[in-house]
Amino acid sequence: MRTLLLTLICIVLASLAHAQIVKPASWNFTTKKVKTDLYELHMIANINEGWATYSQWTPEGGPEPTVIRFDKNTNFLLGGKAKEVGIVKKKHEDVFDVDVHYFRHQADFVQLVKLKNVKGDRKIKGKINYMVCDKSQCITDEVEFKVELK
Amino acid sequence: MGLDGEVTFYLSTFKMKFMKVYKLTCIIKLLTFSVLLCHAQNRTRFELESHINGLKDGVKVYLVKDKPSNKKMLDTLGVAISKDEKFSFEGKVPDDVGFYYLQTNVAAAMTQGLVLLNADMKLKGNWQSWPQVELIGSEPHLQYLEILKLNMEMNAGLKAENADVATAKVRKATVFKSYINAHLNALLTPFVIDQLIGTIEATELKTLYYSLGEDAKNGSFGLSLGKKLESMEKLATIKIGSIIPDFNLTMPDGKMASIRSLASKNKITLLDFWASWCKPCRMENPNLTEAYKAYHDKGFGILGISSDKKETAWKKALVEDNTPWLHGLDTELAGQNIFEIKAIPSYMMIDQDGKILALELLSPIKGGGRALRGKVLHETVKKLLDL
Repeated sequence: MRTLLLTLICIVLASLAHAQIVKPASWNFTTKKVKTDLYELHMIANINEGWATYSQWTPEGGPEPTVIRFDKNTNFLLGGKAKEVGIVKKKHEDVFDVDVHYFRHQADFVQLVKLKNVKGDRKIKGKINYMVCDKSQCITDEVEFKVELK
Repeated sequence: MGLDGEVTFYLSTFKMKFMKVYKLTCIIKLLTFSVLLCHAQNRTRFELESHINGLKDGVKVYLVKDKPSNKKMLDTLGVAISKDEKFSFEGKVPDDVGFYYLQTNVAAAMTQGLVLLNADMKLKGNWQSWPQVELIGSEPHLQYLEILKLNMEMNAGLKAENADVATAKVRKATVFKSYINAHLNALLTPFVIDQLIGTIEATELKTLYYSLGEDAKNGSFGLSLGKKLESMEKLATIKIGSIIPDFNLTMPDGKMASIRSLASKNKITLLDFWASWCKPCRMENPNLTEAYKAYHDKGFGILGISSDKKETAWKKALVEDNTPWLHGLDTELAGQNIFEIKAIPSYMMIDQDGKILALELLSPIKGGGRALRGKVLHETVKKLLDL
């Protein structure tokens, strides 16, 4: 009884440090300078074990693809859609009858950004709509970002 | 704390003595302090310089957020490589403050929580006693240590008394509440209130939250507590026995229909929150079909509530899965918003008056579950229909 009780109390406080709302995926945003006026924006999804998030090019009819949108900014030229770095897995899902393109553990979406004026605005803003699923549930979420290219 | 004390001291000295020397010292100190203060407030980035005695060169050190339940690193704020017993990180702490942990590629143990903020901080320690480290320059970290100590002492006291669970609960409430009331302006106090969720009543939690100082309430811990309490309040009304609020669905023929009126046709109705793109939802359809066929003539109905944005995708799935029950589209997510549903599939069984009989709502607070799937659904239906 005593052990049980103490474990109970200790668990409560141990979770104090990370008792926030469960999120199966979290995002990091970093930048890398390629040239004086050319930058890579890395949008990295860290995905919990057992969960998956989906490629921007997963075929229609299955899970919703990840969609990245940038706010309009006249100082940036975007080099097409973001590249996907990491292992894109492909699996035929009978439920949907399509090949699903997905990521486990980590997905790095890399957007090339060219600055028209190197002395101009360097803050790139946008949002990502994505979904994550595990065996028993799916969550759709939106994440906004504002990153300085440097 | 140290700085605050210093300034108060010089201020009072200034008032009392009013001597030139003191005045000058005071002004210099005050100026230094304001510079420091402005500096601290405007900081949007942090620096963490670390010195661990006995640390070899070339050790990879990770600064991670959230203690991962598996070996994976989550939200890595930075990676550093040690040299001359030193390593350092710089960057931005999201939301201005948060719990972080240090891990290396040579030892399994992680440090305890380090409360980092956008400021200059230092870390000291000995490799022999890793992962024990000392963090300097973070006021909320000191508060965290204070809370840990308080909790440890409380646990020791309970152990010595051989206290039972009920006593422990009361003690925890008393100890934490008195701590909260004595630290209403501190950044980490909302987190202590968070610890009392489940221990004290919701109304009391709210009172504690409202008594917080503005800084504490508007800090990132305060904001997340506020959101949590708000959503708890909403969820408290959604429980077995309560009547659900009504909302409308767009039916396949384009007409609107209210879920309460649709559900009134059966003795019991399962609300199935799903979408065409959700594999676990679709995987459950054969089981739902089986239950529907077995018990529909006894008064069991199902109402599919889809959050599909694309009507065509929804209709395609309806044809593919060939489900015999009624379906409606909830593009605006009215249902998910009312019930705080964060994940699908989620299920809710209601009677013909809209009273909740059983629940499996997937929300971060309620947690996942399989309360109305597979065989459990069949058993629940049989029980509710007295079969």
